[in-house]
Amino acid sequence: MQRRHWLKLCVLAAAAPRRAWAEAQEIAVIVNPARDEGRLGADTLEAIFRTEMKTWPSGGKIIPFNFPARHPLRVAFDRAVLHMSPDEVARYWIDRRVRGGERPPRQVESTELMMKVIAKLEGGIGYVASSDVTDAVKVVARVRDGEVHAP
Amino acid sequence: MGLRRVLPWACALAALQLRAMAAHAEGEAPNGKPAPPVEGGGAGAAPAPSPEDAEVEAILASEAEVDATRDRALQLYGFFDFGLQKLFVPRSSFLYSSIGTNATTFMFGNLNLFFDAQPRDDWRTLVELRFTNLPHGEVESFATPAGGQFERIDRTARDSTSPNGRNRVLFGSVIIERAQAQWTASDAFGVIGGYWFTPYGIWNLDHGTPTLISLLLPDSQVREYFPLRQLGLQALGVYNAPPYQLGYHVTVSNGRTLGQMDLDEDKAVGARAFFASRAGSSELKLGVSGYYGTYGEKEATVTSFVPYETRLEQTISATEWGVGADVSFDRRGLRLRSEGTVHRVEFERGLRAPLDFGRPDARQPDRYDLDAYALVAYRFSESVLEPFVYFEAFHGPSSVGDTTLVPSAGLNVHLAPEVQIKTQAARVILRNLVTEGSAAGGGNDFTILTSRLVVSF
Repeated sequence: MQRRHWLKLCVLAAAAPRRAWAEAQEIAVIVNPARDEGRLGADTLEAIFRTEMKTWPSGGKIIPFNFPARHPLRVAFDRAVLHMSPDEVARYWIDRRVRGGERPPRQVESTELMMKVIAKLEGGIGYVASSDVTDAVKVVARVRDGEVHAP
Repeated sequence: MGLRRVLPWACALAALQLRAMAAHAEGEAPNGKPAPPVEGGGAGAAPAPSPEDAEVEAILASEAEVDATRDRALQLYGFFDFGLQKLFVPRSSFLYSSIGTNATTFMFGNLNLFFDAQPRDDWRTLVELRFTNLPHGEVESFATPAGGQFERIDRTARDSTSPNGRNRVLFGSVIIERAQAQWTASDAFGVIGGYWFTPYGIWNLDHGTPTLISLLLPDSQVREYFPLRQLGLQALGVYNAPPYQLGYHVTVSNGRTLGQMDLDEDKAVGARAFFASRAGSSELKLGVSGYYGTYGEKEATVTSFVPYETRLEQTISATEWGVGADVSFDRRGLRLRSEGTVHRVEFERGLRAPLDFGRPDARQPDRYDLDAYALVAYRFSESVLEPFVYFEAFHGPSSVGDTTLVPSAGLNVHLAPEVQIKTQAARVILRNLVTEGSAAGGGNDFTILTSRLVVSF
């Protein structure tokens, strides 16, 4: 019984704050400033990050970027936008591969790189912590408390 | 080392991890690289990128921590499954001698490799190969009162390249599951050329053991109400109006052919339309599919050696069509799948195909094949367990009854996103519900227990 308590404590210590941190952090969904889109809704973001929607409503190819699978921002973003846990996301892309579906979004590993590619690429879309946003990008949605909000 | 000694160390490590996260919250990159994601796997040399790609690559390549070639390279991935299976076929049934055994047996199922390359943003090639030991061991013919011999295929060969030269090796086969090139103009229009899976229903698109819920295939797949794969062209596209999506596929192909070439100009045509709607964690998808085509056989006979003359004669000529409808619904752990398929075959007078396992002069009748199934699966929250129930009914002319019912239940254990253990038990009930003069009164009913360990990589 005592061992179980130890295990539970360790799991909670490792997992709970990570999730709490990610959910408490406001995420800004960013695009290139040249884009016409002023705001993007939750449904559109889901279609984009499932790579089902590959063309911007105003024209041009959408180039979505993700953080790696276990990145805290990625986990929070996937929960809010795709409604999936990391394991569910992994299964989703395995299923898509077996079906011969579109590839997942490309990945970048740092906020700095995310900002750089979005600022550079007219079709780019990604996300960073709101506190990291600069004028080099345009915010089209915010993820707060596990939900997508207008910018 | 006892658990009591290990746990405090584990907690200390967890605390260190928290510190790393706190540092990240202040703008630092997290320590160490995250576990490689399943979704982006692949390796190989990058083909020449388009100008847009080159721009992305230039940015990414400037950062040492990013593998800049990763997404454009040839990606190699796949899945593998093997399992344990047991049949319970009555020894009095002729099916028992056809199968040969009820013994518990390990099964090597699939080893499928995908070669996925996207040399340009608008071009993609996808080749899926299945490696198998088939047809080794398959029974090719039975001994018959007319003097036929029992024959089992032997695909072993003496390994003359080995130093002792006496050992034998089993050489397998490669099945081309698909080999296709796709050009995408926009979401609304793209074209696939090559050898592709027929876009119909749910099963044929899921097609792989990691993705399918049930191990047992529905009859529409087993007996190919629609050809499972076709050689030709396919136009496809979607109209996105999130949370709704409307999509289509239109196909033109050789259709069902006995050889590699189409023997006539009547190309097979098909279409599929689907509608998808998403709301939060719920997703509903409805689809309808259709197919129309002809198939036949022509036999050549040498009528004279000098002068050399031949005669070409049509021996089989059939027209077929199929229609299907499917629905899938997902909500959190719940997964519902159902499809129904109708297939019609009509032969020209005097040009009927021979009957499988029948007398040499027996011929196939014109027929309808009907198949429907429903599957309900539920993945318990925070659990690896996904039980499911499956029920199928199909109807068509057969020597074991015109109607088959398959009640079934199973349990899939998701050990990790890449690893599943799938189990299923099914009772196959064979009845003559329409045809007069019953040949099946329950004596051929049987049970299947099957399982697979499935690993995606």
